[in-house]
Amino acid sequence: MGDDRPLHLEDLFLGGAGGWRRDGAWDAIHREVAGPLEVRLRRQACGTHSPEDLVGESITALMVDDPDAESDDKVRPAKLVRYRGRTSLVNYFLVVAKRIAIGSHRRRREQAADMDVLDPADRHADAGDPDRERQFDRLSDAIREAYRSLTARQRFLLAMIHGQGMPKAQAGEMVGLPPWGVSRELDRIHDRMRFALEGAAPDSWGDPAREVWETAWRRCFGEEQAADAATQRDGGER
Amino acid sequence: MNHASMNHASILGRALRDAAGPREGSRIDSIDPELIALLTSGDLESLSEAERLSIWEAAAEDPHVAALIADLAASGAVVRAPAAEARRTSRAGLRLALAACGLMAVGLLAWRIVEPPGSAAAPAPIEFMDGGATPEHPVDAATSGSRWSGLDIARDAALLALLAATALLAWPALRDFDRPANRA
Repeated sequence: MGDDRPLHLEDLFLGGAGGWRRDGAWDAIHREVAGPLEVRLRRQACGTHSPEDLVGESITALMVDDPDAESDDKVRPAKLVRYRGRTSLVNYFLVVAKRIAIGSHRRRREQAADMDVLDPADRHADAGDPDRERQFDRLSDAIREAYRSLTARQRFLLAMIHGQGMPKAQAGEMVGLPPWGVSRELDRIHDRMRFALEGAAPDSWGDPAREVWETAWRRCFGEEQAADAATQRDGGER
Repeated sequence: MNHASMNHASILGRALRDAAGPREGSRIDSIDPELIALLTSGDLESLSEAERLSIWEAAAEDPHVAALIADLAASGAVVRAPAAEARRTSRAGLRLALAACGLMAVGLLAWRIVEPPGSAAAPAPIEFMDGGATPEHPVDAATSGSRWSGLDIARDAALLALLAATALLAWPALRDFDRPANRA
């Protein structure tokens, strides 16, 4: 187990049951997990998948041959991928199921179209004007560098709050900040971005720019998700 | 939003997209489900610093990972680890209380069988100074030994209360006892 602390030993035992050559071990896992997992999946957008399908696919995805195990009959026993008992088995399956739903949807969309966050009208307006294009590139580079200079925690906050519209308190809980500390941290991030941008484009940062910046976040990270959600709803209705 | 601000949004959008890294593929396929479950259940303490950083970076760079976290957190579908632990703890407490109530009830019942109410030794006859033992009210004296004492009443009341508590605790404490997830 290494340094990991298994909090759910009983689930770890159940999860490891598939690794033993017991008849019906996977059936036992399915019986244990399928009910509560389906209930929770019904609260989620599952795209074109039904909750029942996702349960089955999750188990299949986690059921891998164990290359370390040996057997006499040349049939390798399977084991549950990566599970270490740090969270309950149902939670684990839930994340895997949701990951499968989002992943398959992403692949379908990637095949369908190549998303571009740039507005076609803006591209058209900037095209053919070298000065504007240079200014565009310079400012874009400055923002990119400023963003990259932020810590992972700060970028996570921006991605979740501006990109996903998550409540500040909830996002703060995930980075270990009290609810009152999230706004302060966001102000600090915005100040840092302002300082970084003032060198490249003086007077370009202010309240309007800040609003636009948040809009850009939604366009960059949120628009795709909104389209995903709409497609998922369509799929669900079908 | 006017054209200038739209243009500004485009610049920012492109910068953010570039900063987020290449769009080919997604980190969602390689993200550890257990870490996501711990993060979205609010169990930050169970994650090491390196694990936290890996998730934060993945979410900041990949909108699909961010969406996965946001969806799970918003729906509350991932059971909060402290709540799950508290439930296990409270179930263990219930079972302990059930066992205690049951044992005490059995003890009191045994005591009641051995010593039924009113079986306590009759009070010794009053010794009169003149040596006579004739009480003023002989009927009362004869029946006083079979009366329920205060201790008998208290014992039976306690026994009834314990039996009731045992019956009330039995269902919540033993519900789904055979499910591994509920074994405290």
